[in-house]
Amino acid sequence: MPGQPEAPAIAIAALTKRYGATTAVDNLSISIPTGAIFGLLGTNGAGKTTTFKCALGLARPSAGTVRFGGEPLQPKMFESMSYMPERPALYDWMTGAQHVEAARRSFTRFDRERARELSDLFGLDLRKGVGKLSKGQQSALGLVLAFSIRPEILVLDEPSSGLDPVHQRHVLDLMIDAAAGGATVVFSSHQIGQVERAADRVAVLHRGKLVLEGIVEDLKAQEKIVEATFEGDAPTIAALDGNPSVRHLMRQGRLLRAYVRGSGDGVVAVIQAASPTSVRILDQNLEDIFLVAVGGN
Amino acid sequence: MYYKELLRVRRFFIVFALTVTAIGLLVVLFSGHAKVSVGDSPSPHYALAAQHVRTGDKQSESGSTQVYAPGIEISNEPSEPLPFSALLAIAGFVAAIFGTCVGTSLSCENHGHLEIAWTRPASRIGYAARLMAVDVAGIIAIFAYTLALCVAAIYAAGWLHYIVVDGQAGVNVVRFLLYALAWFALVAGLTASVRSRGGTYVAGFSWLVMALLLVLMDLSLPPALHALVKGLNYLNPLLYGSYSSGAEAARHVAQIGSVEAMIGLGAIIVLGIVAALTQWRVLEA
Repeated sequence: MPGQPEAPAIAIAALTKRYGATTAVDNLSISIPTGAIFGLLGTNGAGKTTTFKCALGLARPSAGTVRFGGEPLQPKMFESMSYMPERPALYDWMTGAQHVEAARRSFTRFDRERARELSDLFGLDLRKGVGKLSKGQQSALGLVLAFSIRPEILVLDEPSSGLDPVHQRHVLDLMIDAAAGGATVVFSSHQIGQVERAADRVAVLHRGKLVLEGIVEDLKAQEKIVEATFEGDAPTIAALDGNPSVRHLMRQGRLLRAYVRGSGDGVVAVIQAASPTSVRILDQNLEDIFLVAVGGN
Repeated sequence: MYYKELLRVRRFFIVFALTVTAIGLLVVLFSGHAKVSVGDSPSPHYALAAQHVRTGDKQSESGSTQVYAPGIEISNEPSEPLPFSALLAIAGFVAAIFGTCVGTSLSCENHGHLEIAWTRPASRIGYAARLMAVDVAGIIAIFAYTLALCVAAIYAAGWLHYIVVDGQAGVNVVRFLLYALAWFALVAGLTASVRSRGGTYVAGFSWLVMALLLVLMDLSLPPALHALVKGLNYLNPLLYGSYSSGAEAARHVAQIGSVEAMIGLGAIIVLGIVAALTQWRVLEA
């Protein structure tokens, strides 16, 4: 991308998007370095798609800026940038081959051989009209088009939507491969396992606000679960309620689970005072971290 | 860069060309069923009567006449010369319907395709301009095709020498092309920001609404309402597109000369395209 080499691939600063009284994205700031695989997580309506649309000029932000390689978005940047929307936005009356040809004529970097390889990978019959393709096949065609441009920036909104597990794995491999080649990949997904597998950085949006952001391994190292079992129902421990390292508490029968930031040693000490039958510290996975972040545990 | 746009217009063109060709073929096939003349006075009746009383045939260089009984003849020859402008009017009418259909192209993009349309390395306005340029080329093509087909059908019927190139023909080429383009621009301006299938409905009802506006202008309305209707009618392509070759020309044709009509149609085209591009520029996916 043109611009200063040290500038992040994508820099979103104080982005806000309102639709009437509804704030879809609220003061969002994210910096995505070149070559990163960045997973954007959030529940439905969290503002992921709106963020993508604002970033790519498909919707006008109410406030804030988005820069690519230090420069504001310009149409020519799409020469090396791909966007695959959640709904592929293809033309029903065109065939897959016609879409490929249209993309070839629009993007100078389009690699027709790559398109053929990827079509084979996804088992696509490009002679078929898009209207006759299943949702998964349409997604696959969208992916073929997005990756065949050989972009420097890839923005993929739910790229695995509708795909079977085999092809979902292919999508992950393609993203990892693209990043290994120097491309920056930004994607959203509800399949947190996939995000955990592919992304090196994540951000969690909740009701338009950024509630968590960081390197996946760091987040996992910072977040622990302290799990205790009691002989009877898990007691209410007042000292835990006000503890700043406890992000979330869950009681279920004899089980008490505290999602904590940091090593969890302090919380263990507090719980030990309540005489549990057992206490252990578990690593959190990305799903745990996400659920705690959005308060949906 | 024009590939997808050409594919889209080609689809419309094929449908229209096939339809117009089918109509042309029907005209040629039924051109034998012509006027019945009793004595010297032409009758509006057609030649299904007297099929069993044919007594002879007369052949002229322009067509054939069957003689059924003394004083009763059935002729397939036109009773008066056919001005070339009439053919231009037909071509303009067909091209106007074509223009109405392709005028929804921006609206169709707005029906779930903006994400793909606006993430190409081209500005929004550049994209829209390209789309409309291809539409305009399609309108001109269907105009030329219809005109050629009319001439071919007339030739097949053996009436070619009845065509006379009238004095207004040159002006009417421009006028009826502008007429078709005005419908295109009007629909584009009305539908550019209309999502979903709404654009198609707007295009479909536009002819009805414009016809109604024209009718309202002739009714005795309260002065304020009449002024409003009259004002709206300045943006009504129907006002400028009427054609009559007979001595009793349509009233609106009599009121509006060719030059004024072309100015009016040109204004609709400019306003429609500016309105469409303005909406397109501020639209959100």
